[in-house]
Formats: sequence, C-alpha cells, structure tokens
Amino acid sequence: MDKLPVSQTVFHEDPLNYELSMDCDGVRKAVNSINTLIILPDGETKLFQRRAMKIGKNKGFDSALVGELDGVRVYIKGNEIVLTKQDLRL
Amino acid sequence: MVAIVQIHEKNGAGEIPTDKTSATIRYKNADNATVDANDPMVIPVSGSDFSFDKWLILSVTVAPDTQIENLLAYMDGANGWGTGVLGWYKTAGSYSTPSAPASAAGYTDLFTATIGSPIDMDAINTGPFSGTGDIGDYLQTMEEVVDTANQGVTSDETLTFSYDES
Repeated sequence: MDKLPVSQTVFHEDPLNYELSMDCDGVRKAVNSINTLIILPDGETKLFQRRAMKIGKNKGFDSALVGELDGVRVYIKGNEIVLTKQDLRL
Repeated sequence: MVAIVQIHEKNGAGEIPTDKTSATIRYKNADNATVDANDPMVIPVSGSDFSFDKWLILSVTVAPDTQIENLLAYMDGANGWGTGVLGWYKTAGSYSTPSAPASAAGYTDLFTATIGSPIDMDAINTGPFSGTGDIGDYLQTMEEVVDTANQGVTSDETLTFSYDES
C-alpha cells in the first residue's frame, strides 16, 4: 500500500476522504465522491481509515480506507484495492 | 467530522508544544524545537556525543466522529545517517524535561522500528481515544554521534506516525 505518492493534503482537507456510518441493521458504509464501500453484517465487521503522518525526508500524509469482514480486509487507496488478511501499513 | 491530529514536539520544563506535522525535527545539544545549525552535535575525540531527547506525541485538536486507536510509529528503513551516527528511542507515559542522556542504556535502536515491527504508541496510555488533547505515549528519541562519524549535516530520515480513525 505504499506505492502511491505521499499526499501533502491534510486529511480534513482531502476531497476524497470517506464518511463512515453504520445503520441500525449493522450495515457499515463508507462514502466519498467516487466510491462507496458497503459491508453487510455477515460476521464480525470493522470499518476505519488508516492514517499516516510522516515527518522528515518524505514528510506528508497518507490514508487508506479499511473494511473488514471476519478477518478478511479490503484496503482502498485511490484506485488501488487490496484484499488480504494482512495488517498493511502506509 | 474528520479528526485533526498533529505531531507535537515538547520542550522545556513547561512542556511547550511545537507542531511538527509535515515538518522536521533536528537533533542537537539543546532543548528546543528550532531547526537550525545552533548547538550542533559534536564528533567526540573518543566515546559518544548524545543529543537532547526529542519528546514527540500525537495531539488531537478536532475530535474524531467515533475514535482513534492503534497508534504506531516507525522509520522507513535502514539508518541512512552514515557511519557513527545512531538513533535511539524509548516510550514514556508522562513527560519529563528533555535532557541529554549519558548513554543509550534503556533505549532501543530507532531503526529497528520498521513498518513490519512498529513502535506501539499506546501501550502505556491505552486507547481508544475519543476526545481532544494529547493521546497515547511519548516517543522519546535521541541521536548518538560516535568518534567514527564523518563531519557535516546528515541526510534526513522519515518517521511515520500511524493511527486508525473511525
């Protein structure tokens, strides 16, 4: 997940930042202006945004949306989507 | 609302914060956050010169919708500072006025903290965190210059702080 360049845009100014929600039926949803990720409550679910702030040589910001269903994770960063059980970092 | 999280360097007895988000820290023989050529590290005739500790911590200025957790820190790889220049770290749950340690006893090699083996930054002050203010543990890091080092300014390294926001 470290193939894309580090952004200089802070997270709260990122137009592609995701808005996360969960409805009363346990359906989790992440929405931004181009993508929607929906996780149905078919098991143990998580939904969060992994943030990274870098100082020094490659200073900047990095973020990926992470959805999880029963230990299987999908990482979405820009147009790159990774499906894995690994705990990937930025 | 998207949380606003900053990396703060703390200095002085008053724990004065300086925002170092997307910036640089400078190891030196003084307790301040200024990135300049004053109070430089010195190559000793023998032995080592230890910098003042840098005390770094994540600070939330706008709270997340739900929580922040899984705080981590790591370097980008092997030590690129060159021969005789070493980096060290330890974590702390509370602040102390920065000082120059007499040795690296109690510290761990900073460059062993990698993306695959990061520093747990909320092992003492445990998360999740939902409010504003400082969160997690202090990263206490310092530089050691030994007598085999070369003169001049070393190249920058990258330190990453990571967290999960929901």
